Amino acid sequence: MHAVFIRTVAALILLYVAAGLPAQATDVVTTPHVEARLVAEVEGVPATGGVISVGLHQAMQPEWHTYWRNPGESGEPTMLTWTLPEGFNASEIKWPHPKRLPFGELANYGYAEQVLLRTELTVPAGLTPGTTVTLKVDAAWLVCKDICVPEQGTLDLTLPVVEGTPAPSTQWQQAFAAERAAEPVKDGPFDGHFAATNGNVTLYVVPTAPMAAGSSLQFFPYTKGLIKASTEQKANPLGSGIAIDVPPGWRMRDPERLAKTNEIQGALVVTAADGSTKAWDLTLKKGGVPAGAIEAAASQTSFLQAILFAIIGGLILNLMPCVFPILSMKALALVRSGHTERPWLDGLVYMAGVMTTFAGLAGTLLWLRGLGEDVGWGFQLQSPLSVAILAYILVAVGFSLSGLFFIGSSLQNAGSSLSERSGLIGSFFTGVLAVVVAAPCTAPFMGAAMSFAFTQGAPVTIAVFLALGFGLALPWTLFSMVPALVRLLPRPGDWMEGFKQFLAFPMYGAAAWLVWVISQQVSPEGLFRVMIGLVLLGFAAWSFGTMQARSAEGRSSLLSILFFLIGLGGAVAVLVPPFEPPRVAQAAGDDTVSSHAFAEPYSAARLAALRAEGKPVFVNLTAAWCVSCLYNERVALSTEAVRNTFRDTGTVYLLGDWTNRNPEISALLKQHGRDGVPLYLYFASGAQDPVILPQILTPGLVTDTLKASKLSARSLLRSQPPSSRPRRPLLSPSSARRRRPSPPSTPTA
Amino acid sequence: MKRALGDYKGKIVVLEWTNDGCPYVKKHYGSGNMQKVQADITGQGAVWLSIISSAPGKQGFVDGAGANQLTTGRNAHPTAVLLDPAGKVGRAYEAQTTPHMFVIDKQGVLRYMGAIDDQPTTDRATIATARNYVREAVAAVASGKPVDVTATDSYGCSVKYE
Repeated sequence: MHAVFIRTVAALILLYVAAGLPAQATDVVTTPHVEARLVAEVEGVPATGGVISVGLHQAMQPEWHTYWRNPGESGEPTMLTWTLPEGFNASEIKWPHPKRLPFGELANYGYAEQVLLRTELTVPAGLTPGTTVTLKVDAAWLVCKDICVPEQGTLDLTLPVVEGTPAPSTQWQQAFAAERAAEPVKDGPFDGHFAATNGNVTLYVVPTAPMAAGSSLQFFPYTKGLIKASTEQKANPLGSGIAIDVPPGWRMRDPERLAKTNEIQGALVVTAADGSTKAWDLTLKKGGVPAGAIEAAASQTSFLQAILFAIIGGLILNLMPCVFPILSMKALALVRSGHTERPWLDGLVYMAGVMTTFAGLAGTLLWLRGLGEDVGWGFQLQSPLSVAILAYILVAVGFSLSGLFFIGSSLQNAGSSLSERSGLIGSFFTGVLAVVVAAPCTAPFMGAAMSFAFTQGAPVTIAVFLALGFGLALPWTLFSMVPALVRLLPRPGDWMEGFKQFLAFPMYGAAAWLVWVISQQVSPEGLFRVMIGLVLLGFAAWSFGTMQARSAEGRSSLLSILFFLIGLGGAVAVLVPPFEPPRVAQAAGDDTVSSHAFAEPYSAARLAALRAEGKPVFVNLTAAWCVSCLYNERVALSTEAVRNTFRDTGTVYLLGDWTNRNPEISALLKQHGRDGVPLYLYFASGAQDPVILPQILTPGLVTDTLKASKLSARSLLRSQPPSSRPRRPLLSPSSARRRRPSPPSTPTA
Repeated sequence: MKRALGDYKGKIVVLEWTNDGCPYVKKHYGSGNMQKVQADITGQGAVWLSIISSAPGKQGFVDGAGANQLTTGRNAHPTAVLLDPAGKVGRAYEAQTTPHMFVIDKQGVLRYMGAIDDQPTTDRATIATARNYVREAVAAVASGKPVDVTATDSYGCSVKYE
């Protein structure tokens, strides 16, 4: 009893003494694992008021750490509770960016060694210089190594009230500067996006200013449970940005919560090649991640897969109508050369022609994209000028096949070696031509390969294009390499001349179709110019043939040369003035739509509005020059059955015509990882993401798609009436079953 | 002795990840809160399984005798204490912290996962006013109502996997 009394008195005296002294002694608390200090950036508080920085400095024992605002998979952030003189106000902690601290198979976000938790202190005006101000904070923190210890301390700091601006603290100024440099800064040079599926979250960061080479990125969300801290983030360049694929935390695995998550805020930490870091406060918005990224992440499309897809796509391209006339020409050439010594050489040269053209095409595409043009496969057909040139080429080839003139003139009278050489040149250009005419067709597999290609760097793009060319050329090249097959070809003879002339007609047909494409791209006056151009081209071809014939006979061909030049010059001249767009703005759309009058023109706004209304929407992105598109529209989309299904399911049909460049449609294509048409999207009512239909449609496929989601939506409703529907979005039933703890041994309690 | 979730079919099962050395676990056992929740819930016929996934040599690891001693020592009321030194069950449930709580309904469907309450600190004073998510979830499941809060951020020490 007595002892207790004395101890109490002693404590009181000590307290009294302590209160009378400047409170320097309690600005540091030393716990078993942390030395914590309350510190200020400046040596005093301004009498006239303002904002100064104070903070809790924690120096941890080696291997121990404290936590960031989002502590990661366990842990707890440090908490500060201030007791301040009247009129003073303390901000929230200005958290410097953390480090990822793996512990076993879990990970935390926090600070090792030391950290300064800066707080901005608002100082009121009207303080008396010469007096002092005492700031008090109750700090509580969790410090962990392999085990965790909660610690706390009450710290105070007395600062003099000074006139003017207080001097910087000699001891702490640098620590504050370093801390400020580690705080996430708003409005950084980045745009942020994210996309989430049940099994994967893609964070997509697009730098708006060039990033230093060798930089790496890491994203720390402010909210716990969004992504798994335990998985190390791997950033991969993708398109114009950087994609980070991470497994979702529990919040992102819950579909309801996921639907409500429209943005993720956090700190983007950029680590430069020299190890220095810079943090940005970044909000990732839902959407805007290239679909290629999600598909690639989900299906793990690898480089090798893309190459394989491209080769398959190229092979299938041989079966598409676009390449048909070229292939028959090829067959004819093969017959001609098949009985020469080296038919395989001819095949290889053809392949070289195809692949060179594809490389050139990839290069042009990359170059145009570099200029900011939104172009993809088939881009060459979006300009009426290039369609017209293509029509010229096809018609010229047709004239030659019809016998108006000869390409590589001297087949009959030159020596065999020359004949072979000119045959090789011919093979090369057949390859070039095959690629040029293939443009309007998209084969299955091509879309996936191309979308992958454009999300990667230039070398990958070119590699994928080359693979496509390889696939396109492969059948004929292989054919020419197998003597047994070559021997199967009919013997050359008189029939060849007739067959050659017959082959002119597919060329004229293709040209007629190209002219129809032009008719949708330009005014009637422009169309007329192209037609006149074709007539002049015919005149030039006839003159050229006459010239060839006359010079072969050794006669003067001056007049023919003149006619030829006039014809060719005229054909070129009519293309020189720029083409005007069609008079009726809607003309292009109307024409294409005519086969399915129930379609509405696509616009992003209309799509958004319909989806907001909860209507199912089918989007068809097409172009007049896209043969695959027209085929699908004819065979599948305009059939009675499909029409009826559209009507029965209340599905709205939006049609986007990409015959001419259209940035809105380009954007939608890009969003779904495509660079060309066709693209068919089906947005089920209320669905987040559309179903992407294949590039070759059948009526059944379309009706099934439209009906299936209708059906599943209904059956869902039936089995789970909203009122009694158990809220169990956490785990799928299958994973719940999987998660039964079976084996642990049990000492009964 | 081994236990499987199937053994408790037809009963509500509560899983509690625990580690007696963890300050957050101490908060709930030291204050008697955890024991009270256990007694109330098992009293209603539900099953309470306390699971220790600490690896040998790590904090919280105990053998069978140690586990029994712990239960008597702190007057706890679990239906059983499960030892999971290899962390198999812990990983299957992705248990991250101690405590980390799971509520499974009679059909074996997971209905709640996360923290025991809404006070992520070691401060015992917060228990009195805390919102106990496990009690809520068990009550809802027992009365056939939807669980209001189905998932939360668990808080505490990390599970000491090997």
